[in-house]
Amino acid sequence: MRSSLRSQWFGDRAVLVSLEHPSDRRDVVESLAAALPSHQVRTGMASVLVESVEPDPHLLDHVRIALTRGHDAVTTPVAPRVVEIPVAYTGADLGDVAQVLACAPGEVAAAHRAQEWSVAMMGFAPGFGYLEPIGPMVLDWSTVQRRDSPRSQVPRGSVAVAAGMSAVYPSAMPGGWHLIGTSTAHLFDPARPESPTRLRVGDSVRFVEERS
Amino acid sequence: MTVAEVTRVGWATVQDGGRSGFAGVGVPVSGALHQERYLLATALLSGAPDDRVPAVELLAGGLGLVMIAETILGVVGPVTLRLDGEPAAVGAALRVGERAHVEIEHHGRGPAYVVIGGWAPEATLGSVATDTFSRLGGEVIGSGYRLAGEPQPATRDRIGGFHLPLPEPSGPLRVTEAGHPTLSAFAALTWTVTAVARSGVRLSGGPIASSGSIPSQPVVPGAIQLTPSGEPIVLGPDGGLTGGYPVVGVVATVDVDRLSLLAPGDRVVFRVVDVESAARARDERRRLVARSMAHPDRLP
Repeated sequence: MRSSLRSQWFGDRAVLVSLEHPSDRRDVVESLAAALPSHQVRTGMASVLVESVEPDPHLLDHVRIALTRGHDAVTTPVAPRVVEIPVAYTGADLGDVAQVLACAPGEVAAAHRAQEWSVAMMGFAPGFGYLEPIGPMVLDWSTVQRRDSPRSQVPRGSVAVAAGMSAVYPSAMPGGWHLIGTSTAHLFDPARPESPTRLRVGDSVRFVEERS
Repeated sequence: MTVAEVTRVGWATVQDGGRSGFAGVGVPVSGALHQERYLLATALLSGAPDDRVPAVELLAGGLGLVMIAETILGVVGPVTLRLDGEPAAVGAALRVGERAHVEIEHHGRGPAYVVIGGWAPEATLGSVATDTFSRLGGEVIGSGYRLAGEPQPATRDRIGGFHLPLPEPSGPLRVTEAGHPTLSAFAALTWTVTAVARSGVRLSGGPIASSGSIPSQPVVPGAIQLTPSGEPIVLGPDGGLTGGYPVVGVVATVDVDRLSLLAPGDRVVFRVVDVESAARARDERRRLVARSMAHPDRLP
């Protein structure tokens, strides 16, 4: 099945695998990580990148073989880790988002909490996870686009939505997503090298009401 | 303890080989813009390339240091060096005495690297690299910056080691495919550099057809993104891990260091190569660099 996935060179030391369905992501990442343990495997929204340190003319063959074999070694699928993130829905753009979704701000908050999210990729900044909605959607998040003009500084802990995704800003940085709330969760701690980020690709994320 | 103090500085940051192993959780690799020069500098201290040795990456202007204690100094790159007013060798491991004044002037292309025995700045996630995008690790060096650590008497036997001259690669920048249909059209054009930074090099000279944006995907240093404005960006070590613009091609690993030699106004041409020849060229360059490196048997 996975042998049909398209893989291509991405420079002389990386291969990009295009995903047909986001649900393939976890299988593909696990197959590649198991078959190529000395390589770095990173995910995109619709792709997976396998990277070696130095140029390797055999990498494309190795990736294709790994995809054909699948991850037989990983016998039992492990349920995703669930991470709960507390949110106070007080974001500056909550009203705008409610308008786009044609509902009340309180309904946006309730739908955001009810939604199951999954970490599709990490990037943009350390600890920044791109969360995609999993399962039934009460509201169609894909209708919320990025802001016309990005903010030069989004506060740390801001909970945001844009382009069908959600995210929590791990530190203060520029950002173009719509802010719907704030969280006290610490998503990035460089003082913990064994696990510097709270989120990892494949995690399931639930937002819960912040208790004051 | 302090091994040296900065008396004056142009544009400089603390760097090493990079912050590897955390890309999967969103931490960019960062590190020296010109890895070859950086590793040559580290070999002056360590006897072999060592990507954990801290270095000052000097991109422009001068660097003045006053040494607090006797130690070893190594400088690699397009600079002139004076110790207490006297001209001294670049690309060599030098003894510098207590209170010595080190004056470095940048006068050429691309970064220069300064290594100092015993200097040990604090590491973040295993690296001292200053990531100008994520603001991790070290810092932009200012006047009065103190280089903390203990002077390194253990490696004093390295003093006198030097590198043989190494030719700069020339010709078009080699680029390899990334599955984008317009790579040959891109490589047929002559591009002009409009801006340079640790995050990347911006080019103009198109237009070249761009399909706007794509679902965010992982990127690597050397990836050439086509922005909607038609100005391509060649990503540098602080260019971020993911991107939403189509990638037309990726600069061959052997030529990624050469991106740091570009300046606004430069003309750039590319040549498409396959992965086999890109890998071969990289191997040849590495052998050449290894031969030029200071070895104990070359010590006077």
